[in-house]
Amino acid sequence: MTIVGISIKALKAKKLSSFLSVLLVAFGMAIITTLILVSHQLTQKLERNAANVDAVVGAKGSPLQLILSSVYFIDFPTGNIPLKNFEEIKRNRMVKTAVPIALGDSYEGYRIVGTEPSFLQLHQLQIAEGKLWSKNFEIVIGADVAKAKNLKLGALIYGSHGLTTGAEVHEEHPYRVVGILSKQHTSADQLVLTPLSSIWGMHHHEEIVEEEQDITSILIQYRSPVSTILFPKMINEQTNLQAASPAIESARLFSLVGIGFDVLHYFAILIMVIAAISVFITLFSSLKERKYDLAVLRILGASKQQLFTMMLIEGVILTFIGALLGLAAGHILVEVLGSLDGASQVLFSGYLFLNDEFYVLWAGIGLGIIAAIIPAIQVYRYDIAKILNN
Amino acid sequence: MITLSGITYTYPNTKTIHFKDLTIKSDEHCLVLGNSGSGKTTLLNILTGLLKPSSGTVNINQQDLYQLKGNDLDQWRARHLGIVFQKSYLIPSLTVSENLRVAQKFAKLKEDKNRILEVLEQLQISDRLNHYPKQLSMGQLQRVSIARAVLNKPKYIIADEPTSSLDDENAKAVLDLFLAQAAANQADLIIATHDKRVKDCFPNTYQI
Repeated sequence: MTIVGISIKALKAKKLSSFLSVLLVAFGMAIITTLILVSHQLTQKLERNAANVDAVVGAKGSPLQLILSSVYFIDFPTGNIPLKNFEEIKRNRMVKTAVPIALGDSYEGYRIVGTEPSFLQLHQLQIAEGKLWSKNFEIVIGADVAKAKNLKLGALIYGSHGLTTGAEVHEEHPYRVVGILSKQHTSADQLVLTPLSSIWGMHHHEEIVEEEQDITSILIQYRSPVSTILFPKMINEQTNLQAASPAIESARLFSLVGIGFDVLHYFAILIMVIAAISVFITLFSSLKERKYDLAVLRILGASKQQLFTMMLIEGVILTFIGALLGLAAGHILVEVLGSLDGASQVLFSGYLFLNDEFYVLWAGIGLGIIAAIIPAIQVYRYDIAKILNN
Repeated sequence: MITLSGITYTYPNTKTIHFKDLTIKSDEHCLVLGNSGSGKTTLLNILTGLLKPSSGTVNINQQDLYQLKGNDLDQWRARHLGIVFQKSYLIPSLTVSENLRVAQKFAKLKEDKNRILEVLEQLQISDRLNHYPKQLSMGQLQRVSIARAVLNKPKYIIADEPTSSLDDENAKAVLDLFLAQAAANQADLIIATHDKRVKDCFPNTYQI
């Protein structure tokens, strides 16, 4: 019989209250783990998508919306701008790279993006199979699209109008898959890329006239960091367009979402505190009946320190099991979240283990020690003669 | 050999008891007699190192008990004394066998299952090896607590009122059990009681 063995058997003897304590710790831990995993993956995803985009130019409106639609491909676009704006901006000396984007159609929930080959260079996309488009209605698709829809090179697909599924299908012009991108772990995995002229050709059945060559936005890469201030100022003041920075907008988005994260965070801490109190009550109330057993252990040769340790171990066992279950539950929850939103743009994986989780685990163990310290001190101070002769 | 000399104890309510000096030679059993409230339990606590006397010394086998401090005293007690309380005080979450293994562990002795079985067989409760205390009768609980007291072959078996709540027949049986265990383990018995029925079996008595 080891001390840990005695502790475990003592906890097993009061299954219900032990179970309650473990459950509370696990619940709090699961929320914290989920928060850590989701916020980490969200941040990483946002950063990765915006890695090479310094600014986005588009129609006036919400800058956040412009970033969401053109960089993360989630919200709806702000509106169209004429192609000649693109030609002008491309020639600006502050601009190193300018990539046009035309949104509007989708294929089974995946966005069809009209663009130029520079889009692939800007986002450093590699073609895993096939080649880049060479004429209209040829497409290069993201890895997730290919996998989810089981599309091979040469496959024909039909786009539908609008960004949601179930809208009118453009049956007259099928797209042909000529290339499949390698997995990027960015939004690009869920895109269908095609030349700009395919988008125009889809909506204008006659010859395309220059006035009708609209695009949604322009992704900008600066020549030098100095432009970070000058370029948006120039665009916003001298044109009827707006320039938005992915860095600023995603920080703003995070501060908005962050409030929700903070609330959940405090909620989880509250649950952990309740869990600690529950562990404390479990141990403290059990002492009433156990003080005789513990005093007898002293008669049998156990030292004060051993009994003190025994109580701490009991607290730590409860919170450690709770923390492990909570970690597991958090990962399962995130994995389920990730698999639920299938085609959506932000995918979460439960198969990701972060260093932060170790801190959480340590915190769980610390919680057990804190909860058990008062009962442990009480046991340490037992006057065994008094207890045993009552 | 046990010698008590000049022992006094002052209770928190300032009442002081003076205990007569006492010498118990080796291989002699001793009965501590006294009415309820006379200080029997106090004397046993002093004798077992649980309660420091206000003055005087306790010597057991050349060891001045209160020269030992803290954990050393706990260890010394575990090795040399087997104590049987009025209640059995077995740990309810552990089986009979585990309760005895705990006694070996905390005395820093090797776990010895054969010894456990041997003692339980002597006390005729080896069939209860894997039972929990709540599954045992009062008599069986007392036997297990005797088994635990003699397990580590102590020099002295000290018992507080082991027979007072029993009828004549059972009191005799329990007393025989103690005597048999003392003989089997070469230990001396010190029994505190107000039960006059026990008196005849002991040549040595110490009246408080």
